[in-house]
Amino acid sequence: MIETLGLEKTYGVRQALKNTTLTIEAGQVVVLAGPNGAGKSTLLKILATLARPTRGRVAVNRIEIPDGAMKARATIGYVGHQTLLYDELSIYENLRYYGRLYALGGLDARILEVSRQVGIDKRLDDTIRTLSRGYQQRVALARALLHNPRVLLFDEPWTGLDQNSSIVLTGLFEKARGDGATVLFSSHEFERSLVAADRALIMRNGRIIYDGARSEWTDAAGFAQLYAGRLAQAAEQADKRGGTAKKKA
Amino acid sequence: MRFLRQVYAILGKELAIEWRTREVLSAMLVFSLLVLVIFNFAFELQGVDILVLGPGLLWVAICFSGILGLGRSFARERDKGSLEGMLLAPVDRGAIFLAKATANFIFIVLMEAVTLPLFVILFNVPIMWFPLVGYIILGTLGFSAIGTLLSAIAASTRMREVMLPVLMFPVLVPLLVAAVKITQGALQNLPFSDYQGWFTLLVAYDIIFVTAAFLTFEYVVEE
Amino acid sequence: MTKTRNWSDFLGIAAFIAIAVALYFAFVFAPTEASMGSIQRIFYFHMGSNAASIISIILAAVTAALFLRTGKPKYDRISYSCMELGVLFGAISLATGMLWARPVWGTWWTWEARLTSFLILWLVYVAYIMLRASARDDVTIARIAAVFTFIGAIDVPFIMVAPRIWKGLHPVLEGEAGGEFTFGMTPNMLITLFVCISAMILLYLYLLYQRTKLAELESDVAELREQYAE
Repeated sequence: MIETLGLEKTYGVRQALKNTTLTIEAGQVVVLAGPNGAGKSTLLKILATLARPTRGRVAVNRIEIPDGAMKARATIGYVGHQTLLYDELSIYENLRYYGRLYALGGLDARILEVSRQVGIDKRLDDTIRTLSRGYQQRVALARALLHNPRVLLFDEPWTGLDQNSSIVLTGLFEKARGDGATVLFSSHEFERSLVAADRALIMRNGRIIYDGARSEWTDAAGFAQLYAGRLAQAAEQADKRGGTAKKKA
Repeated sequence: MRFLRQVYAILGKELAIEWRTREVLSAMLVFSLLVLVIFNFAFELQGVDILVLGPGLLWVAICFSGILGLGRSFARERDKGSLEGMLLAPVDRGAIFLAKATANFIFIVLMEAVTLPLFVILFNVPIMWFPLVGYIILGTLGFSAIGTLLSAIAASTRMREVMLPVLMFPVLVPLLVAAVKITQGALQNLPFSDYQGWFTLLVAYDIIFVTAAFLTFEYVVEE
Repeated sequence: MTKTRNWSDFLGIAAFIAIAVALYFAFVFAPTEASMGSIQRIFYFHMGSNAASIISIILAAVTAALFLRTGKPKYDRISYSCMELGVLFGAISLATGMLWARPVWGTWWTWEARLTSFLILWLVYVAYIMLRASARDDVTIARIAAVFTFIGAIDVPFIMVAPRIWKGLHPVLEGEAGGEFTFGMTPNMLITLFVCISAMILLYLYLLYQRTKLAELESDVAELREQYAE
């Protein structure tokens, strides 16, 4: 479960996130869409405790962050742009290392379980360096799932993913929904990502400008149309506001 | 307990990677050997001179190649974004610092374990091993602690290779001077009381900077 | 707004008067030193800038710590301004030190304890400025720079002590550098010294205020530009 209230993040003078209030219930799979620089990555990073909010409140699994960040981290799984893996170590060594950071018990059994889930169990002793991009991404998924997180955050997980890995990812989302976990992921690729989502958010300039359930669009093409429309509408409004501001000045 | 286990996990990972690549150690060793050789040509050190100038030379070699190794410490993590992996986990930032600093300390001591005998052989220095090794390790302690913090700082700037020495040398001067003077005293077989002041300074520096680096580390790595 | 303006004007006028008074004291009021002659008068401003650059690192460290605690950009701006002024006053201190050393000791530079300490402190300031300049982005650099300021400040006692122990161990050099500040100062000289240090500190505070204000305006401009671009 994710809750934010009046969340803001400023980088120097740039406002990456503006007054964002959002609730995502457990068992929901939510896609986060929007152009580059809209604040998607910033939102995900704050939820993953990697960045501190400038203002506002955030709770992940009812634990307030950043105050309870240490406790919250044990319940969050995050996959960013980078795989966070060590090239020189094998899949097993990487996973065991992260498992120990999360202080997990029964680690070997857990590694095997997660590896099967993402289909890397046959290659556990292979060094990361020798794996293809798609495989590395799968190991990154396994890394994020290792501690059985209740909130899953993915930043553009479909980028560079091959067909098989894509199926694995969709499967993970289905399973997470069944387990009552919360999933939030950003994506540009509506074609592949929308299949898995129950709800969609569109961000622009640090604001959420659309929040709608599955029933509001029919397919990827329909959503793309809705997406373009909402963005154009928001841009028009911003222009108008800018126009009046300029007149005032 | 959990804290120590996490330190151990990160330290183990550091050592395993270094064992496979050997990139930090080999670079440091070659570099320190080069410094010794170049100094030999530059100064033609012999006889009495070596007892006076040798300690400085030894510490310049340790310091330069140490900085070379420290530079890799966080550059390696930043390149792959794997530092983020540690920050995502419920790991105390102090544990990350302690593991990183310990790993750097081990690498630098290993480098010294080769550099010191080389120094003795190449310059024909009569040496009292017992106290000297202890002093060098004491100097390396503060060096690795402050170096780990500053390499984390340098890694998040644009010119990190240049920034590390620029940031490190001014802060390091007191430690370096103390270490050189103590080494000089030990090489010349002076009574301990002659360099006791430096010894106190070095110990104080170690304690204060290990603590300060440990406490401020989280501000450097967190966004 | 007008209130702060008055305050800064007052500080500016005070600094101006203080410097004028200090010049009078240093060049007219203070007696000519017996062995060194008139050149010794530069010592008053040397000590003044020394004091300002020491205050600078302390102030910078305090505001850096406040910034780390509260995250308010205001403190970062003050801290940054302190470090920048540290470069300036450190440079004045080094330059006056060298001008003084030339006729008195016959060299521009001696590795005298005080000069050496200030050179190292100055390098800390310069390293800080380089760190700020090589920032990858503005956000993280403020925190990182604050940590470096803190480390630099802790280093200051060591920097001040180390060259002194060094001298202590080398009695040969003692004679050469000795007598540095131990020449008998008459009460009038002490008064002058006090006046000059106070004046330099006032000047420092005024410049600090202006520099911080400038940094604030710079960030306001950047913010407006950002809003306009949107």
